[in-house]
Amino acid sequence: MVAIPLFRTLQQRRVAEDVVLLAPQLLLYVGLTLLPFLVALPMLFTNQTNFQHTHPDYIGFENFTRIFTDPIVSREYVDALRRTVVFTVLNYLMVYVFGLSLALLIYEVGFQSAFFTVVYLPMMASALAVGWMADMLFSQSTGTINLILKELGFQRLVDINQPSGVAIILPILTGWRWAGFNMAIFLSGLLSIPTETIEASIVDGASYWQRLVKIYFPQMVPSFIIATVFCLIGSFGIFDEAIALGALIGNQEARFLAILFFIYAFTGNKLALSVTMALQTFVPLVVVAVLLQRLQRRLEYH
Amino acid sequence: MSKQQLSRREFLRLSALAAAGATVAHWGLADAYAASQPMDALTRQAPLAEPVTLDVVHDAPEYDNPYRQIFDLFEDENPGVKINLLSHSEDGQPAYAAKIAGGYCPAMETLSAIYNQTRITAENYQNYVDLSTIDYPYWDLITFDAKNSWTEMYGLPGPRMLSPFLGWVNTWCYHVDLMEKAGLDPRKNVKTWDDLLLWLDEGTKWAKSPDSGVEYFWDQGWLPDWFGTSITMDHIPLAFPDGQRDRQVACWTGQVKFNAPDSPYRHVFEFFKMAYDKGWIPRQFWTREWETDMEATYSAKKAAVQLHGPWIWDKAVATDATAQQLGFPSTPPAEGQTQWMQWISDLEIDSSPSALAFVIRSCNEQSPNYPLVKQLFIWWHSPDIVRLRSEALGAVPAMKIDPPPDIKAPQYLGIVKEIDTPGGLYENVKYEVRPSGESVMAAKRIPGSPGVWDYESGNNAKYWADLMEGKITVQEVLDMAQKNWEISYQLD
Repeated sequence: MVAIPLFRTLQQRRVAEDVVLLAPQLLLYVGLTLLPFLVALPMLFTNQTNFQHTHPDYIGFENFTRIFTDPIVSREYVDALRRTVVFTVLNYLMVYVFGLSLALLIYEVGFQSAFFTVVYLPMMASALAVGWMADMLFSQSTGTINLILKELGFQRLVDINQPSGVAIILPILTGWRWAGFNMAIFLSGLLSIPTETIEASIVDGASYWQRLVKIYFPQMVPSFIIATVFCLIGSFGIFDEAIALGALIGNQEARFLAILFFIYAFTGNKLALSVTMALQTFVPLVVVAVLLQRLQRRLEYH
Repeated sequence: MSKQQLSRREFLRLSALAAAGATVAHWGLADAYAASQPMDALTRQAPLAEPVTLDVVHDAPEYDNPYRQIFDLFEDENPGVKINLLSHSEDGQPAYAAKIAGGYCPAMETLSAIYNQTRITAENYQNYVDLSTIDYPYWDLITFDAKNSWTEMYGLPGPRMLSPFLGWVNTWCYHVDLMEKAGLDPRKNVKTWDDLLLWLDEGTKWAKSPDSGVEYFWDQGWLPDWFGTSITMDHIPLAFPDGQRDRQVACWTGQVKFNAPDSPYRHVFEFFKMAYDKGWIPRQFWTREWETDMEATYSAKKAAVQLHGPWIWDKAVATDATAQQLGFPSTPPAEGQTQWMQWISDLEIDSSPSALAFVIRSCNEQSPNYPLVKQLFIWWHSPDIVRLRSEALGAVPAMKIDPPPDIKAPQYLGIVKEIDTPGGLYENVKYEVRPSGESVMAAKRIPGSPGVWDYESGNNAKYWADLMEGKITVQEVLDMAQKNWEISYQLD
């Protein structure tokens, strides 16, 4: 009897090996992301109110249209969307303020690994802790910053329950927390720039600003796009920080989309509607992410 | 810097190692966690043959210490049984709900462990054991019909929850030394609604004076359910002849409109609007955080007065053990009202506003430990243990207990014991113990609807803010309430 190898060719063996290596991660992704998504799909067509609703009724596509036909749902969604978009724009700005600035600093000046550690440390803090930190700093009566401002005679305090307060404080804190992550993205982009192009520009007498705009940034477009995609995903999913800012106990200005979906699902007895709205928000974001990825491929500097 | 490229093979190898490591770590943690959980039906072990752990979950972490001491008694009486006491507060409720959805089955839990405003309704009653089947022997000792009230309300077999306690009381409370400094004595001088308004006005003027040392006379923060449930909405109208409980219920049952000219709920909004316009409560109070702003200022004696339940009294004492506090009933009678009524939260029949009502989840019925679970539940609701719970938490029992509990809680000593008690300072003040309109109509609520005051989603902050800032009128708020009632309740 002759033993027949399972994988005859080297190519087949390599594919098999790749599959085996990929299997654990794939299992996790399928089991924790795709499978729950598929299991939740039937819920979209029911009136399930919460996890304890044992026998929901089939209602067809009503959940999908409520976002447009129900004035209360529509208004709440639009308000949450507006806040989320504003936060996304400001957070995107912080990506460059913190991330790009630090990357340029490291690239040009050069720092030891201790600096990396310091910059990365905020990422170790949970988002909830960051939100509570904002609460401790900016509560009306007991916030440290506001107490200092009062001592200094300021009448106008920083209020995290006001639109301006949340709009200013939250992006700054989020930008600070993710500074290390964004810095790494931009630093990798800087490090991939051929040094000859930089040296040539210096020889040609280009100023630093000209080098940035004409040499660095065009060759960093892939990094910008990656940072944009991550920022988009993270901003639309902002949740923990908003919880700590009181989104569930009255701070209307912290009601971002993820919070709205959460409230609908867990306290508003609208679980099925919440999941549907999340899907309706998620699909356009996926389209945007795919378009950005294609743009990245087109704009890669060769 | 030299370019090093990671080959696809290496990348996949590294990814697989990372994922495998994470998975092994997860399994390891899961095993350790599972070992601490009560055995499920699959193990088929005989009760008490080996040590048994029963999980008890509640949503009031401030009660952990007294509960732990009381459950230690059960462990002493039942060798081989361990009570694993777990708690979380409001921010932990969603995670707990997800855990339950994932199959977690504690032996006993508070009804509000999943969500503060959970009601046992036709949609979810099957999640909880019918307590009429567990041979609880003390139904007759409970001073209201705890055994049949839920069944009468919903027409379904029950009851499914138990709380042999009276509701909690919301009164004015104040720091004695600050009130003396202000030159005010509400217990002596506030006998009518007009007296109350005058007291608030004079107190506010004092608080604004340079030498008061406080930031507010009456600090008020925001919680959606505080300004949407019976706590405030059915509370303030009790001062008025057309605001009594029977008229409130008439609105909820459709006999009177919420936006009628003589609607009892008009008084709530008119009172707070006046309080806001006159500066008695803080600017934009709907943006003041409940604990870190409002309760913190009172505990730190930066505010003299609160309109609150028992918790603020405890917190003030926790901040300063020497804090002297007193209180008085919250709604002295307005013109035309003869009886001074005091609001008290509803008896816990289908919901628990006080984190004192416990349930047995029906998944326990499949557990071999179910007899022990029933035993634990009956023990927890026996007269001797209810006495201990009452003394520990300051909650007044709705149970005939001999001897009665010796309650030392600050609010009880500061005001509750004086109300509706022979010889008490307010012996002629009566608790309004009839069920609120929201409770009466709970069985007819359409799931997912906003409810009259739309507080569950927190949307009430908007109309309260608009009213205070003059963007809408009281009538417009009541019109909204009527409209919400029409889309939220099914009378048939």
